[in-house]
Amino acid sequence: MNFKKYAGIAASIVGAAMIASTASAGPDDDSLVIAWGSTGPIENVDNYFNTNRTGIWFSRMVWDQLIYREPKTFEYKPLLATSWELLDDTTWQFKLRKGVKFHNGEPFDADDVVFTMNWISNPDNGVKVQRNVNWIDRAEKVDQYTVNLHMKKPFPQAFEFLSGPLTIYPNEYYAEVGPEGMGAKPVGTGPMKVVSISTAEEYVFEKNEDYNWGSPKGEAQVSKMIVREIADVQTQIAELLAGGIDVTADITADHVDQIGQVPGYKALQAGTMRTGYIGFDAAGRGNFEPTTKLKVRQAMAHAIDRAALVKNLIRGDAGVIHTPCFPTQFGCDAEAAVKYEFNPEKAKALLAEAGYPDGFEIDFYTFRPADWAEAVMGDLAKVGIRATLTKMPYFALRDKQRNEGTTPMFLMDWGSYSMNDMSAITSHFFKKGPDDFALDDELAGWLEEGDTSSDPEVRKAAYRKAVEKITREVYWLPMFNHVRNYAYREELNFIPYQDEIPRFWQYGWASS
Amino acid sequence: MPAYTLKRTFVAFLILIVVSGLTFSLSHLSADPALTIGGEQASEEDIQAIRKLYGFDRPIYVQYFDWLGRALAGDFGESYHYKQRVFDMISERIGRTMLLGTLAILFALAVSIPLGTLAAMRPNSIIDRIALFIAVLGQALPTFWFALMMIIVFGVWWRWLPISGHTQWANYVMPTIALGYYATPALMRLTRAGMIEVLASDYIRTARAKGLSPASVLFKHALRNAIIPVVALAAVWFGFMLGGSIVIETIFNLKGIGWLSYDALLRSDLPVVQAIVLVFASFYVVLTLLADLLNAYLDPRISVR
Amino acid sequence: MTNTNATISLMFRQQQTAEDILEPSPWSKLRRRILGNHSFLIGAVILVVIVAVAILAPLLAPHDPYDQDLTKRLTNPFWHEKKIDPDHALGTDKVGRDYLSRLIYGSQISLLIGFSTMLISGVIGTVLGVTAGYFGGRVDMVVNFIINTRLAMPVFLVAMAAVVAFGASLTVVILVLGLFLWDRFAVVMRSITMQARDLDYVKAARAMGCSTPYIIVREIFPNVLSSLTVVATVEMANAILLEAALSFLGFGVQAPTPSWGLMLNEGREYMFFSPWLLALPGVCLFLLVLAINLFGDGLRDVTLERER
Repeated sequence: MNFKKYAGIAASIVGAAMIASTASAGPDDDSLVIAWGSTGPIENVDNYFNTNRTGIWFSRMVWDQLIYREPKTFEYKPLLATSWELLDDTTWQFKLRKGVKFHNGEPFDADDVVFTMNWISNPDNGVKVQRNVNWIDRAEKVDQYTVNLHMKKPFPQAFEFLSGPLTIYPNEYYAEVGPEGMGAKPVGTGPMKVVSISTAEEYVFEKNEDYNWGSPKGEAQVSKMIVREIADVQTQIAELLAGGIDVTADITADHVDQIGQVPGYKALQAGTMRTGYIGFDAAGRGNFEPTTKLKVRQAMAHAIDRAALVKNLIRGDAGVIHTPCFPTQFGCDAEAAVKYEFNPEKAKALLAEAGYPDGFEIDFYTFRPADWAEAVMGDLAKVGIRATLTKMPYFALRDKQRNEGTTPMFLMDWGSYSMNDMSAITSHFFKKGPDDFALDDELAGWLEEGDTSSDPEVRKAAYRKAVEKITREVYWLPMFNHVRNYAYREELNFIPYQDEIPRFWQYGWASS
Repeated sequence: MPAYTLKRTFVAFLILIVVSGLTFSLSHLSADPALTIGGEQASEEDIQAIRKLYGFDRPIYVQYFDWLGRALAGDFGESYHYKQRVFDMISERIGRTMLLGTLAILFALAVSIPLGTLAAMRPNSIIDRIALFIAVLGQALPTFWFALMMIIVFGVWWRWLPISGHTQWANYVMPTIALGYYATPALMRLTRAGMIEVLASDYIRTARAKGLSPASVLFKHALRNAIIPVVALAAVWFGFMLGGSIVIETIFNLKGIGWLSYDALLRSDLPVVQAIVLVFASFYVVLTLLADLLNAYLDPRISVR
Repeated sequence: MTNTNATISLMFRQQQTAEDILEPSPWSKLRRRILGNHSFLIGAVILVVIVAVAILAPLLAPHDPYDQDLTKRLTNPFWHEKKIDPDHALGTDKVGRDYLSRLIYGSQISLLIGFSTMLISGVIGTVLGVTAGYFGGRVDMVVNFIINTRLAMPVFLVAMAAVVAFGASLTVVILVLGLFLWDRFAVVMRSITMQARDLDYVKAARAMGCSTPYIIVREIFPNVLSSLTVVATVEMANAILLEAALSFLGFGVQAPTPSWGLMLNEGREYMFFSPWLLALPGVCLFLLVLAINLFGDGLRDVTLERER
């Protein structure tokens, strides 16, 4: 009698197990399943209405920009524009490529570029990241394949934006459906077409067979691709080992060692331009005395063994960074930076001079893996600085910093929106905005000069002074560039990039 | 009875108001919503504008009553992060959580009623001991730990069951067991205690004396009476379980409203958190209400006498 | 069943009634019951061992649980062949801290959380329950409403929200759990106080004109003490598990505190390749909760004769 019930349960469990065919990933049907999750689900895939890193790789799959930035050398190359010319200080003229089609069949021409540029630069349309577009004055059509782009003032970083966030939309379609329609059913010229999107679940793509005009981005290597949102890294690894997914990009350095030893899998580490730093409340926004003293900040810079941290915890091709920006970025002069070697004795001496011979207690904040912060805390403890760690979700921490400013010390990082220009990082933090804990007028002035001048030499000189002052004053202790850790099935041709933008369409199966 | 029903319904409603008020004030302590809405690149002026636009500059109780008024009409506002209607976000995912909760409670009942009955039929026998052992074990095993162990064994080593998602039935097997196991001890103990009580009652003795077959006594008379409080308790546990699904849904990447609440907390997406607290609380309140009414109608002791 | 709703009292059904407790039990009979009760004995022994480990942690632990060494991270425990370090019997964690020492100190954190939470919730719940039970009527109605409101709140979700609001720390976790887990105390204390109120000698005390506080403290309280202890064990176990779950999701105690829940969170990163990092704190947690539950179960059986 009761056994019947048991038998029933057992049968249903076994039955369920048998129908459990995991998602058919693999070379057999030329499809690819990718796990994505560290940055979380995206609010709207319309490239102009999200601030999420998911949006960055998505936009590269589906749309194209006028200009292509070569991901290894950072050179600018033709994409939708075939050539360009600076007519005057504030006007660029672009010749456009012929024979390109949007996914819905609409041909690409000057009308699309003019419409896109004018639409996004109109503040009424509420593009989410205004700094991406607010330098554009207007665009005008010269002929079917020529466009003039007028800028409000000389804007030296224009190509970083034109080769980055500014993707070209089909004018007729976008005018009809708007951001909501574009978010639900995106249409672009890019190497992959969107089949379906379920918010926070998965994105399904298929190859754009018309992407054969010799784009430097290359054609899609698989016919079908699914990107699944899996927030939890351990779940991602479990799926990878169980054959449910083919690639993960969210694992840690230790996982790379471990998964790399599993037969059938490969794992690798690739450095990115994401720059990690320890920020100090030098301006005293949170009324915490010790970090306002230069000697204390210098002492901490000498107390932290960055090289050991990088070697043991980050690994890969990460290195210690001495600049408050990533050294490849325009203006980020590594020579100008004041360097601090690991020297606990000197740190102790400096602490004593600052009036803290026995150290002090400090609250330390991060949103990154606690072990990085713990390594820092271990070093600080050795010179008498007793840090208490608070790990918070990213938005909660930013909120606390901006509104209360009660974060005397924080380990954070910045990806510069993958832009190879110092204005994308240093100017964000040191121009007396809500994220500025230095509040240094002189510094803010130099950065403003560098951000707005059209003369590269003037810019370089201004940024050079900024790098020197930030490091001399230890407003930040730059730490290391982040490494992204990947694991994937060994049959996969996998290509990592330093700018932290995965180009999923370039992954393909070795056999096919 | 109508008076009792009316009174309990009113109290249930009042409870929801208080719960939502507490949550509202708590979540508004936690983060500045204007900053969350603005995203990471919003300027100070943007933030000020958002604050005005959404009315965050008003006193908190004004904001609360405003929210409550709209919530009563089914409008939970818009998610700060996804810019979607919270109502839609929840209705899209609530089915998965309900399915998981229902399967889990059925699993718990399917384990605990037979075991509890067997244990009650022979107190202190080996079966009783085993049942007690399972109960004690279940209470001491952290749910999430149990879930992870299942993933290692059934997901990765043997590859029997899919690890994450919600698209196939098989996706629900491990989450169901992990969540259901948690409720098993309480339900089993209640079945056992209830059965012992009923089996010792005059009513059953009479039935036995009349020469009814043991099976008939057990199923037709004893179990039917003993099971009512178990079902009532299961209803309440169902309410608890929806809350317990947060950890399970996160581990198995099963995107129901438990997962949604975790995700929303990470992003300080307050309208979503508030709405989900209210949904969980409503479930609990409604289920308790139903269980109470059921109990009031069918008190087993009344039918035993 | 007066005012309380029937289903809630079902949840707390296995508690004894006042008559059960008040029946005086000769010492020898009690002792026989204690010795004859395996679960009580096993639970008590494990619990004593864990408490002893917690108290003697500075003597027992081979290393400072916070002492890190990045060059010796993730060494394996002694039963492995490769990458072991004789200095660290159970290996090291991801920043090179001795795992055994952290497990030993972890007992302090879990016991501290369990015990403090139990004290806070015990005080709140007992005050509410005894007040409701003794006075009845409107007071009872109000307290019942509070209990119901508390039960309707999804504890885990609200606790997570509270941790986000006030920042994660040991103190916040203890306070949040303490402020949430008093419901069982309140329900049980209320029903027992109600029964005790009607007992003859309590009535007699009232007839003699004793003041209400006097009656509660001197006559009723001693009688409910043993059920209080039973509830306390349940809540303590509950608090420890909840803390572990909160820490596991990152909404609990902060690194580098050696909390078993947090160690589970950290060890999870290595679950497929170094499973002991997950298994060991899990087993510690399991043993502690098991011991507390067995102790509580046993205590109930000892103070009240079980169904024959």
